[in-house]
Amino acid sequence: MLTFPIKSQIATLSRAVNGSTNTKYLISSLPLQFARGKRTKRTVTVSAGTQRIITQLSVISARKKVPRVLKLSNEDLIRHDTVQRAWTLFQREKRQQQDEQLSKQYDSIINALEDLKAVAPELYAVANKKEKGKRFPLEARIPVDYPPNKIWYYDVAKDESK
Amino acid sequence: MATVAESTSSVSAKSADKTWAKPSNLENEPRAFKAPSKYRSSLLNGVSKEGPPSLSSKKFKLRYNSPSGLQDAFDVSYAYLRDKSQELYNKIESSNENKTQLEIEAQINNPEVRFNFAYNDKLENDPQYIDYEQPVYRELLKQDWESKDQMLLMQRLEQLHAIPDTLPTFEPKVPVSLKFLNHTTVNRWIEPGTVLSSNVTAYPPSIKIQELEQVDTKTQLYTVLIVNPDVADIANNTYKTQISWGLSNVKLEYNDNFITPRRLLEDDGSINELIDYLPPVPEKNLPTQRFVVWVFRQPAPINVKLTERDFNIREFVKVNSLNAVGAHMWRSTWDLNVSKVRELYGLPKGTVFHKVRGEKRMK
Amino acid sequence: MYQPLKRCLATVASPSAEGSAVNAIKAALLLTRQPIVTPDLTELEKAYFNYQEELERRLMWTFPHYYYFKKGSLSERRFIKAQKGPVSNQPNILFEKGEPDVVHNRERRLKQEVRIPKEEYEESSMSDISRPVVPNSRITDADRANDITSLERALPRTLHLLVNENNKGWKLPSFALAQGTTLHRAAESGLRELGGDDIHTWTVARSPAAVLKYEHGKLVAPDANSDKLEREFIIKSHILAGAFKPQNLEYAWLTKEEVEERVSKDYFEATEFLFSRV
Repeated sequence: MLTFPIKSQIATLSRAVNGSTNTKYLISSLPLQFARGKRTKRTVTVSAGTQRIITQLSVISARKKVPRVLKLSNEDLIRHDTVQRAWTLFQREKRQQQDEQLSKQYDSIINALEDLKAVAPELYAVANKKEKGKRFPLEARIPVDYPPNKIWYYDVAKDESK
Repeated sequence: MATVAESTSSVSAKSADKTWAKPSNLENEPRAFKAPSKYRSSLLNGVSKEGPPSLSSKKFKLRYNSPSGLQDAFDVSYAYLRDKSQELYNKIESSNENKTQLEIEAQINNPEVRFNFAYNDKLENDPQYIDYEQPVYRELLKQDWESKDQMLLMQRLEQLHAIPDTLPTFEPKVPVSLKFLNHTTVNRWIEPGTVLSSNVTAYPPSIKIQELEQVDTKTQLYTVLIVNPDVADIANNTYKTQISWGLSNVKLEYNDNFITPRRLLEDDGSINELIDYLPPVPEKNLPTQRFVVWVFRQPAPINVKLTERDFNIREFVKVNSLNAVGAHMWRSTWDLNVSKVRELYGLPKGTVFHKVRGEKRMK
Repeated sequence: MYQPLKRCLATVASPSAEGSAVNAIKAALLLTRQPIVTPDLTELEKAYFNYQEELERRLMWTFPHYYYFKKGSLSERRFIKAQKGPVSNQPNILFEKGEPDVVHNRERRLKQEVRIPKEEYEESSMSDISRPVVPNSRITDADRANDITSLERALPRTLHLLVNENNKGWKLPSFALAQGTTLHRAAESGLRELGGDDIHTWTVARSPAAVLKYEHGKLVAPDANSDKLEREFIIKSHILAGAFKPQNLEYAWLTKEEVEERVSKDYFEATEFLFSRV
């Protein structure tokens, strides 16, 4: 290679410059370097937009993110089952108590109205009149985990509607 | 004194020894309400550092991790369920109505009972772990049976038309399992509807009938009939029903209910064999024959003997006012062993049927 | 029956309510304050919710931090620094509890603990938007002082207004009906005459929630029938703002259990289902 005539080297160079495909002679003529141990960078680059899409897709993909399957021993399976049974029993009791109370309240309303009908028909008529445009009050709040800074509002103007 | 008792009862949920609720007048607690001592501690107090005893390999025992949070949740749940159970026992003591149902509810959430039932053989049960004398184990078996085997049985009975070819319909209440215990077969429970070799069925089957409901086992009698609705009736160009085997006045215990040939031999004469066993000997080139096992609860003893094989099962059921509670079936077809079975029982040679082409259909 | 009440309702002219009342009708009021915070959890609920959360975290996918932090940024470095990295698998080392199985910096056999990097706070004013959140206590001053007349007590529970007139026993406030008025109007105006106008209420319905029957001042069964009955029709209402501030009248805002302690036994039996369990 070293004995390569300089003339032809020049010819090769000119071919390379002129856009010829064969650059082999050109490269081999440069100082040698060991390829082994040389750090190479991944040359495949994607545009920023594509990379963003890849990242977004990988968020919703299960690959590499799924934990190991949870395996329970026989004892722990029964223990887990016991916890679940206690929970369903607890919920069932709560529901039954609620249902019982609601049905009592319902019966009580019917009983009271029947009684009112017998005793005071004019009051019964008013009690059953449809209240048009009645809304749930805006001031009512739903329960939250921790109380607000001001727990209760005491200063109310006199309610004129009543 | 009172304060001491109170403090122990409140702490016992977290202490080493957890005990389930029990009636106050209990003398000896059934053994089956306790888990085997090997597993009991890790079941009630959590898996220790040595790992769960249900795993066999030491390597996997060491690697095992219980889910976190389970310990606290289990302790609270156990205390809650035990208190509910104690309430039920108090209710049983105060009034006597609905006792069996309350007893079931008082024990069905006991983790030891559920452990015993889940990890022991349900069919060939060891009364030490699964004791069917206790209504709770019968209830657990019922749930287990209804979740699969009962549906499978009904599917086979209906798709193979055992219903309505033998009896119009019925509601299965009692699991019936079948096995052929003889030197020619593998010791295996038969799935309903399986086609069996005539070699296997050469000797009478062993039948396990597990009563689930609360009955008086001292007096309740059962009838077992095996009928074959596919016997060719050439004279009438149809099929007729024959009885293969029949037993009546069978008494069953909750834990001892396997009717084997040996048990029949050792029986003191209380079981009445309606007719002796005729093994399936199907004719060549005829379709598979069905053998339907019917189990009935009988209101009174039946001491008749049948002389003829031709059998009208509906009439028999009606006359004796039997109540069908369980069933099973298998199928048989002609194979090379049929002639041997015929020889064994001294039966005449079978008929070989042929397809006849081009002829008019018989009327 | 209620002489002092009648005196305070001077406008009421009810001739029939004098002495032996014949079919006298009164309007009683069940005024409730709805819970302000969520109900307290029982031991079972606490343990169960904790267990379920642990299970969920154990079975959760690995947190994709590369999605939330730009690669090479300072915030990413801060986040990674705050994480407690798992032990990675090493060859020739015996792991007794099983070899680590680390993917994406997460031990796949265990739950992943995502730690948020702590920021240092200076003493900040209340208006500083980045101040740490410190929730208010669910137990208030009124709870500590055991002030049963306060509306700020027992925040997780429904409170019911009960009055004790002249030590005749605790019960729901009740008002005689003026001529030509209706049950719900009588209840509303009666409440304001007793406790002042600074109160904002919302009546649930015009129809009564229950009826209590008295004969000679004694409670009788709800299906009893007689000429000498005095009836109290209970109207249900919620207090939304303001307060009940009566003159010379003992009153209390009570939970169901406290109501049971104070009222007579037959009164509680007749009205038990009206008081809220939560």
